[in-house]
Amino acid sequence: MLRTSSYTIYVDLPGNDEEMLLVHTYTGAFDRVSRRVATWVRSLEAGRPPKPLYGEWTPEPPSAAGEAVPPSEATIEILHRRGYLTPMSREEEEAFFTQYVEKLHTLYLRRWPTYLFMPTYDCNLRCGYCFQDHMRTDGRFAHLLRRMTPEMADRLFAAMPKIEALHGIPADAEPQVEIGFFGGEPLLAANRPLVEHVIRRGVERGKARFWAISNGTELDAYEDLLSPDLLGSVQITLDGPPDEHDKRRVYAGGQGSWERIARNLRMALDRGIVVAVRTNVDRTNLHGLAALAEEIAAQGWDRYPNFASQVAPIRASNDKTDAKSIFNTWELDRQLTAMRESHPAVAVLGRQDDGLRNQARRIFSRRGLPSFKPSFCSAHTGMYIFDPFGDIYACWEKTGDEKVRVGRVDESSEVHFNFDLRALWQGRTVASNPVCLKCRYNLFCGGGCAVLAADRSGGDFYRNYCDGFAHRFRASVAEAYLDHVEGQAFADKPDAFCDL
Amino acid sequence: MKKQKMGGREPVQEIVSLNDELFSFVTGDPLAALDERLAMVAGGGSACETFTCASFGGCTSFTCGTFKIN
Repeated sequence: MLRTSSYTIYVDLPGNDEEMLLVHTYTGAFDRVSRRVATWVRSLEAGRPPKPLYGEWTPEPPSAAGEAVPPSEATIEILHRRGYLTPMSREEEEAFFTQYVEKLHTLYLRRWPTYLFMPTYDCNLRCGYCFQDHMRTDGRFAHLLRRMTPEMADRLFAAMPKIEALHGIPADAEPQVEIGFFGGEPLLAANRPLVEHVIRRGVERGKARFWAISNGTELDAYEDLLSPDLLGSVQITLDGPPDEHDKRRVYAGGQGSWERIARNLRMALDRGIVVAVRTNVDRTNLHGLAALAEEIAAQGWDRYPNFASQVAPIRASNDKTDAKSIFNTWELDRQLTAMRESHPAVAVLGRQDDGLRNQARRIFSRRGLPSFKPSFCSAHTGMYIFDPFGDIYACWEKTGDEKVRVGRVDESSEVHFNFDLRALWQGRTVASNPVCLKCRYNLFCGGGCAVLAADRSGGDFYRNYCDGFAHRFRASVAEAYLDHVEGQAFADKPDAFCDL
Repeated sequence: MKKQKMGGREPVQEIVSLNDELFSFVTGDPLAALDERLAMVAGGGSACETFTCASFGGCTSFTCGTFKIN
């Protein structure tokens, strides 16, 4: 006896009342079916999906009216083969899914780790919404504002093979080094000797790739290091057209930063590295996005193939940010999509869900496969963040507080992990989280950001953070499919540095 | 919203697979397929073609085709 898999997703196609898409989460199947077939499949669902105890839950699109009529035997066989129909009970399927996710997650854990170096917690800007604002404005955190020394970097490099051994990587394997720089502001001119040292050490280790998240104000000090073979990708933030940006991305004295950033951004594009412009948006600077898009076009940045853009919602992560002023990801996506209708130039600004759309376009054009995210981000697999003190953190949103560090590297390059905390981070998957386990979108979403989930739930790490994902997934897949059918041009762009 | 081109209207098919080739890579038990892949990387190989994939700071795998299952 077959029932409908708990992991079946129904996607409406706007303008098409005869067909819809079915997507299966753990097989990765994408199919177009008649509404009649979709209605029949839904009629075999074993009751309504359970509601979560917390978080947002997006209702599924309504079923087609009328009686559920079985399709042909051949169609039923295909539906079975592609996972939409299963002989497993709900409980059996959850048990199967749990095993599946655990194996998938183990695969992720066996990849080479990614290392992030934080040359300093200090920054030359004072942006109001910064989650690290307290480090620069509250004297109690002044002790953090030190710079990492080259000796500390050497100590961290010596510790890397010990960390890699924990991921099952043999000592004689050819290193694949991925190193990011984060801060504070990692690319302050004063940090140059340290950053150069880290890059040199990374290149000496083996095949290496480097990237940075920077405010871009002092990037000129790194000009000769900006190259696809060295520091090959940089994310730089522009929060609006020059006037608006200069109100938000300010120096300690209140001066704006647009002019220096714009000059450096052009230089980086000319150097051939990937420049991903991030725009942090809330209700107070949304109005400036059309002007920002026009400015990008006027500067000609969008004509570089190595230019990318992403608009992201500001999170209320300090007491200067009004929670009423922020968008969630779905709300911002809708705002941007509507803006594109009235201001076509806004299309140059990437929406946060363009990654989802691009994934679907790759699938429809047979150039890619589903992503399968057993966890939300690399904080749960193999990301290690080193601060100037040799402390190790799992997530950049949670740095600077030694109570939440997952480990530290001592003077002899010995690594001392807090294995309970490390296991807490690396054990968070869509199967270990009881709400996500029952969610039909889970392997596309990954469970949402752990930090935001814990903030919302009063500290429980193993909670979901949905952020409108069901809406976002269905809208993205439908839009991608319609674009595919209409033959709209599709160009792969670099993905965002972080899904937040 | 865009409308699909419905010129020369054809009968609606019950099901059209949009990524059937996915199911030709690996057949059989998906858990066993994952075990095979785990065995492949146990010798220190990488489970992911990190350097060919377009994402940063945490590969999300869909461009590198690591996980092909049925």
